[in-house]
Amino acid sequence: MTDVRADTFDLGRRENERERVEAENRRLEQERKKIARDGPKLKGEKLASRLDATWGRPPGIIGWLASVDHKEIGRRYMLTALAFLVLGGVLALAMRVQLAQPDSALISAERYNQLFTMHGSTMMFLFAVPVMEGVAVYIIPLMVGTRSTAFPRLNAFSYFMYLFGGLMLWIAFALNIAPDMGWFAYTPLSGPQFSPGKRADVWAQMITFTEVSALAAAVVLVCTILKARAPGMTLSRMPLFAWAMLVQAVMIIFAMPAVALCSSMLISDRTLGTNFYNAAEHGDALLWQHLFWFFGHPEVYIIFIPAHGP
Amino acid sequence: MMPRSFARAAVLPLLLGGCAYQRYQSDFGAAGVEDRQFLTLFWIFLGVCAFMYALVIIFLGAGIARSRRAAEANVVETGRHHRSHPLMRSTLIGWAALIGVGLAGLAIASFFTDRSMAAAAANEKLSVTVTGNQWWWDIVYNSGDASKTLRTANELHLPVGVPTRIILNSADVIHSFWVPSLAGKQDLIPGRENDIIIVPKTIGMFRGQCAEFCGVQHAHMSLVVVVESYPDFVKWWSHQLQPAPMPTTPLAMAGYKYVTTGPCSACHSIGGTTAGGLVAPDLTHLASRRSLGAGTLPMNEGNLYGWVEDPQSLKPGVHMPTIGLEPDQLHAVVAYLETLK
Repeated sequence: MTDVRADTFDLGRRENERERVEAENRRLEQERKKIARDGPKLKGEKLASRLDATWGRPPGIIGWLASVDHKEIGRRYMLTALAFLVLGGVLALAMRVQLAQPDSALISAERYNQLFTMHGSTMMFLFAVPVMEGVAVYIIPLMVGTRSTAFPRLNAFSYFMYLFGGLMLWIAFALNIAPDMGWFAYTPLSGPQFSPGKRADVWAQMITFTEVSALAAAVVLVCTILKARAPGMTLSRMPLFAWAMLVQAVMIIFAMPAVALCSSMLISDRTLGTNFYNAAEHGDALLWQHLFWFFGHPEVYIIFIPAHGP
Repeated sequence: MMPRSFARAAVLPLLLGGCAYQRYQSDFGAAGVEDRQFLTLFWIFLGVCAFMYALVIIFLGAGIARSRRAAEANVVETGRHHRSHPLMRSTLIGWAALIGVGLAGLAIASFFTDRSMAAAAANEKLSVTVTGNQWWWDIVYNSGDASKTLRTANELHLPVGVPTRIILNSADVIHSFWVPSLAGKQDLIPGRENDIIIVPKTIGMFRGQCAEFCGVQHAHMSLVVVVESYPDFVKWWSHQLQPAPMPTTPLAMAGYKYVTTGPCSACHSIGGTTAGGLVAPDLTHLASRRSLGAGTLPMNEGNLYGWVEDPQSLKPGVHMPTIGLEPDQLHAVVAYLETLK
C-alpha cells in the first residue's frame, strides 16, 4: 500500500516537472523567434537574408575592399604572391643576363646590389611565406568545416599589411631608393654609418609590415584550426594539410618576432641614434645575426612544411 | 669602365702564372693542412651519404616495382605488415642501425678532423693581423720589435710549412677571409677578434676573396696569397721592411714631393717619408705587389696611370677620390710610384 501511495505521489511530481519543462521550452522558443539565431530553426528566406547580412559584402568598391570572405582574401593573397614571384623572377633573369658574359655593361654595381637584395627580400618575405598562407586561408576553413576563418577582419588586415609592405618595397625600387645591402641586411653594413639614405629604412619598414602580416595570418590559422573544427573532427582526424599549417603557423609565431625585434632595433639605430649594433658604443654587430637567424632558420621550414602537407 | 676591369681581374691569374690555375681559388686546392683535412672529411661524408642515398633509391625502386596486388594483400588488409613479415621487421631494424652507425661514424670523423686541425695549429710560428676594410685588406706582420713590424696590403706572403695565425678584425663592416685552397672561411667582425691558422703545404699563388657581402665593391675585394719557401719568404720580408728608396730622376722626385705633401699622404703611408695616413693601403712597396685596388687590376704602368687618374671609374664607389691631377703631375706621381719596388 505504502508503495502505491508513494508511486502516485511521485507520478504527480513528474507531471508537474514535465509541465514546467514544457513551459520553459515554449518560452525559449519565443525567445529564439525574437533573436532568430543561426541554427536548424531558421529556414528559407529568413536564413538566406540573415546569412547574407552576416557573410555577404556590401556592393561597390568599398564592399570589395572591405570583404572579409576567407576565399576572397585567400585568392588575393595567392595572386599577389604570384605577382611578386614573377617580379622576383624577372630580377633573377636580369641578374643572370648580367652574369652571362664577363664585363657586361648591362647593370651597374649599385643597381646589381639592389637587384639581389630585392630578389631575396621579394622571394622570402613577399612570396614564399605569404603564398602558402594564402592557400591555407582559402582552404583551411573548408577542410575543418567552418564558414570562415577565426577573426575574419584580422585576416583581411593581414592581407592589406602584406600588400602595402610589398608595394612599398617595389615603389621604392621604382624610385631608386630600394635597399642594396642584401636580403639579410647585416649590420653594420645596413646601419646608419654605412648605409646612409633611405634604402635600409625602406627594407626595415617592409620587414615590419610583412612580419605583422605573417603573424596576424598565423594567429588566424592557429585559432581556426584549434577552435573552429567541425564537431567530431578531433586533431587526430584532421587532414594532414591542416596539421602542416598548424605547425607552420606556430613556427611563425615563434620565429617572426625575432626579426620584427631586430629590424625595429635597426630602425631605432638608424633614426633615433641608439647603438644596438654599434660595436664602438658597446653594441654588437653580431647581435643582428643571432636575432635574424633565430628567424632565418625556422624560415626554411616555414616555407617547406606547408608544401609537404598535402 | 668597370666591365673592362672585370676582364683584367679575370686575366690576372693567367698573367701571374706560377701555379696550377685550378688550384688558384678552389676548395679542392688542397694547398694547406686545413683544406686537406676538410677535403678528407668531405670525401668521407660524400661516401657515407652516397651509400645511404643509393640504398634509399634501391628501396624506392623495389617499392615501385612490387606489384600493387601484393602490396595491398600485405599492407591494406592486415594492417600489420611488419609483424607478419619477419624480413620487413629485420630490415627496418637493420636500417635504423645503419643510420645510427653512419651518423656516429660521421661524428667521429669530424671530431678527429677537428682535433688534428687543432694539433697542426698548436705551435704557431708567425702572427699576422689582417684587418678588413671597404674594400681592401690591411696586413700587419706582428713582431715584439716595432722596427720589425711590417705593414702591407692586399698581398699576403706565407712561408710554406709554417703554422701562421691570422688574426682577423674589421675597421668598418663585416667581411670574411676566404682563401679556399688553404683553409676555410672566417668572418672579420668589427669590435671582435677572430683568428684562423693556416699551415700552407704547397708553394704557389692562391686567390682569396671577401666572402661576406660588404658593400658596392665587395666583388673587388680580393687577396693574393703567395706561399713561398722559407728563404724566399725571409728575403721578401726583409725587403719589405726597408723604407722606400729616395727617387733618383727629376720626374720621380717631383712625384715624391706631390705624394708626400699632397692629398695622397692624408690617407696613405710610405715608409721613410712623411706620408703617414693609416686609412688606406700602405704604399711603401706598392710596385712590388701583383695587383692594384685589391685585385681589381694587374699591377703595371698603364693601370697605375688609370688608377691614379680616375679610381672612381675603375672601381666605382672606392673610397679613394678622383683628384683630377694635371698631366704633368700624373706623370710624376706614376713615375714615383713605380720606384716603390
